[in-house]
Amino acid sequence: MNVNRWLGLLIGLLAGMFLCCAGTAVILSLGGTSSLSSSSAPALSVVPSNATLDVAIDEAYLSRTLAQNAKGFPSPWPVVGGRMNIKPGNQATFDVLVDGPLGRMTVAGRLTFGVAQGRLLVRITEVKLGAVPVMGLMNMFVPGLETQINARANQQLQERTAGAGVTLLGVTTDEQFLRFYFTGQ
Amino acid sequence: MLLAALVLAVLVMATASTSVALPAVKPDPARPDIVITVQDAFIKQAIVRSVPGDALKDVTVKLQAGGDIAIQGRVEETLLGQTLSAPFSLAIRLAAQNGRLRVDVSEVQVAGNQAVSAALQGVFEGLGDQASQMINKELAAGLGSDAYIMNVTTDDRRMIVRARWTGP
Repeated sequence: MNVNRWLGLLIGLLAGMFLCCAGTAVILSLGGTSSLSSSSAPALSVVPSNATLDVAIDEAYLSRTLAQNAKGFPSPWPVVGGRMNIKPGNQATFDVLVDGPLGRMTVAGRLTFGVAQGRLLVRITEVKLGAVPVMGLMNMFVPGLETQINARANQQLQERTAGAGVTLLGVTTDEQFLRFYFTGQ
Repeated sequence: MLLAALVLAVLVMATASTSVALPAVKPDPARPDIVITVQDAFIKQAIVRSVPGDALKDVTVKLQAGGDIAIQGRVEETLLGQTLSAPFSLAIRLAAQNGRLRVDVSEVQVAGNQAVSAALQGVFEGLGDQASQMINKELAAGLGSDAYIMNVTTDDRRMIVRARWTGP
């Protein structure tokens, strides 16, 4: 059943997307060469009435995935842990611990999710280094990171769902689950 | 120079303000990592697509509690230039067994005279085993070899599959 295969691939995509966001935040916070756009338009949080398939992913799994892959981040300083928190209102936060030259510090961020015309929209709305907001600092660097993340996520989504005959309709969150809604074509 | 000083200041403040501990999230064998909810309309589409040759027509799917799915429709097959067509009904039961999804076809009925019925029964021959193998192969390919199907439940509108990963 192609659907099952596709579901697994979707999970991989999501995990990769989170890792990408968290890893990029680490790199940028530590003086990398990219930046974030600061768009923060509210994401939709409505269950589509015509959805015939939904996939709910537990934040615990996303946290485990983030933590397990932390060591693989292309970070200038060792990444020693990470955690995801799914929040109501199409949001998620992430925390990544790094061992910097001055000691251990946390890189934290907030993402929002939405869907428009069958495409997933991920926005990075907040990044902090410790308790220090660094979005403004990041915006000084090369713009377009968010666009790149979305382009990559949707390219993978398209490639991986091409054989399954499904269309992404929406995404919602609650305290525990990130839910994706689809319909057969 | 100014930028370097700014980054250094941020690092100092960030280090000083960091006090977060991130305890590892342990996997809970009783809790699914993923919950897949499939509406009856989607199942109908999947069934029609899964049988090659566009052989199933006018398919209806009725979900029942306990993992049972009743499928009705018309099966059409061309044999030796003759198009044979007859109503059919299938009773399928889905279950999780040892972390894998199992499809049991408990009943196959094809209407019509004996010859037509026998000829068209072949469309469904070995369907349960084939479907089980196919689904589990795809699950392993898609979710990874450590994916463990915890349970499958149905009500009158939906099939719900709960799964977890047995890796670290």
